[in-house]
Amino acid sequence: MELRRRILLFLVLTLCVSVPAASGEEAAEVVEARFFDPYRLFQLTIPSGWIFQAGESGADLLVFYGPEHEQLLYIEYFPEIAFSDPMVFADKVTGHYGAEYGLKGFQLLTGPFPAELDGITAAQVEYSYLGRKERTEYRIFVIVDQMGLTITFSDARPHYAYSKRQFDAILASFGWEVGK
Amino acid sequence: MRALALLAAGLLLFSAAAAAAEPGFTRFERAVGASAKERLLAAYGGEAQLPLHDYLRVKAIFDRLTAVANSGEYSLTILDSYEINAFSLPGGYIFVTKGLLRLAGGDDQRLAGALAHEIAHVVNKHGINALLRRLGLGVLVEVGKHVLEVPTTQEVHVATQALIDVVQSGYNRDAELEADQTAQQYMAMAGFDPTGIIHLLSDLEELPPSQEVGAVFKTHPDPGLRIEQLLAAVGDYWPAPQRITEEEPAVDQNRTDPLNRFLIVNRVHDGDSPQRLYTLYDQQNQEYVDWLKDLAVNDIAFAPGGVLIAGAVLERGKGNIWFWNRQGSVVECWNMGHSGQISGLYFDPNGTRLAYQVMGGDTPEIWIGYLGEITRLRLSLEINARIVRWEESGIVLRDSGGDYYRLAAPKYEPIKLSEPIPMVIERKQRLAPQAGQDVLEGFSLTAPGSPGL
Repeated sequence: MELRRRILLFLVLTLCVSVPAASGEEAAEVVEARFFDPYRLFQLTIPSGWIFQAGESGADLLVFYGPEHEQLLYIEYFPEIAFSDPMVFADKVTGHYGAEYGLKGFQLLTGPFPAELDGITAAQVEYSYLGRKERTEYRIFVIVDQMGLTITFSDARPHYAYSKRQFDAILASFGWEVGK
Repeated sequence: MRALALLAAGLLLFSAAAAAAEPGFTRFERAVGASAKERLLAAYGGEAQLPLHDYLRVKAIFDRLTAVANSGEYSLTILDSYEINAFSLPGGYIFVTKGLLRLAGGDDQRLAGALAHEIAHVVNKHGINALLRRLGLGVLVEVGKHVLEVPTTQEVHVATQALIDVVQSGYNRDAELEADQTAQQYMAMAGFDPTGIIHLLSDLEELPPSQEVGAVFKTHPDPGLRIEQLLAAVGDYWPAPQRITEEEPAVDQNRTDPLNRFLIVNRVHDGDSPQRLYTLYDQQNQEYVDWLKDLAVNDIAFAPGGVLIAGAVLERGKGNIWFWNRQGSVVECWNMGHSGQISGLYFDPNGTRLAYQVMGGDTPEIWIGYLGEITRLRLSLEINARIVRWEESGIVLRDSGGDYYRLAAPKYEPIKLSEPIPMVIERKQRLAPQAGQDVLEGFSLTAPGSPGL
């Protein structure tokens, strides 16, 4: 609960100092908020219309809803993770997702591929599965200071390609707060 | 004469085949079990898709239990049904319903109890034996012939229907009680608390009549009888006390309020009773608490953290234990009615169990009770000793000669998933913000000045 309050406070403060972008072509660039995560690991820009979901977030999970379709961004923390290689992390996780007991209708679309997130080695993967609707997710795995982190963008499959541009824009705004 | 010879031949064949197939399962068991599994899956709404974390937790419990059972190949199926039920089929097929998982809640020990019970049925061959009894001894001849071979489709078909009848009507009383005992052994061997199965049965007993519970689970045999048997055996899983070199503790554990408000004080009482009575002095209000004033309390202990206060209450010559919160409300009563005085109350370091001694005859009885549960187990000790304290390594006892002993509490290993599995979540339906559209009683999700996306 305390953490949730802290997260909300961060959001309120960061929204207060948000800077409107010069261009008005993209709504996401009109009003945006700089978000600092509660572990002080990173910051990123949350575009207009994306809303932090306090009720669904917890000590190790941050959830944002996007303004369109089924857009979803969620960030999960894994303190003191045993892996050091994000590719191993991604391989293990997709292995579980694709297992018999895993996600219904799981399909690996791309990856896991090595990636870089603001100068730190990461792994990325795209997959789809059958939830209430068929969804496609783009997930980044990264390990920093023994903390595992997955950043996941998700939308209903028909809208995923459209939403991916927003996801990429959010990811491009990502910056580490800790030493690289 | 010929029939007898055939029967004898059949039994010999079956026994030989079963022995040859140990320690796994016979082909007949696998074949008939697999066939019945398909029918039961259809009857129970198919296999449930649990959230990944939940499934992996259940599977981790299951794997730990099957690792200590015999070396057959086991499979676990979660049925998509809210009926509270669990059952097993020959060949290692174990089923639990979502209803049972919900009843067990997040308690791994309860769930381990249900799974261990079903695994025990398989290991003890209760299913296959009941099936053979139902089919008739004459069939043993044919079965015996096929145990080492692949049984025919017709044989499997006939046996499948009979097996489903067996599963739905339940095993006999002796088989159920035997499965309970075996389950307790497996739980202890696999690092679970053998009281978990007792607590699950207790939950079943307390369900409202309207709750849909598998008939087998509820009636074969009476849960009260099963609980009684399990409670009688659970103390056996505590190892014998070991003599240790120990100094008298400087501070009497659990006798100081961690929040530093209440003091345990001797109470002045009327009459010539030799018993020492205690009460609490409230340092904040500078008075004795009124919620103990009419009670004969032989001992008082503060739980770790001081949230609960336990008291040994003597009522009409019977010893019981009550628990109060810090406002003086009774939150739990253990009305055990011991004929002797209760004393020596000591909480475990987690505050989930309480050790106490009952003074009856020459030797004090040492008991362990679980908070919030029905379990009170008596430990069979061969020494005449009293409790000194309960620490991480176990309960420390001191005998009449001044020697100390440690009674190591069984270790329960919590389930930890070996690898982190990130969550996969979906948006909830209730909030579907659309830019430019007011939702939730007029709250606009559109940023001022924004045309919306």
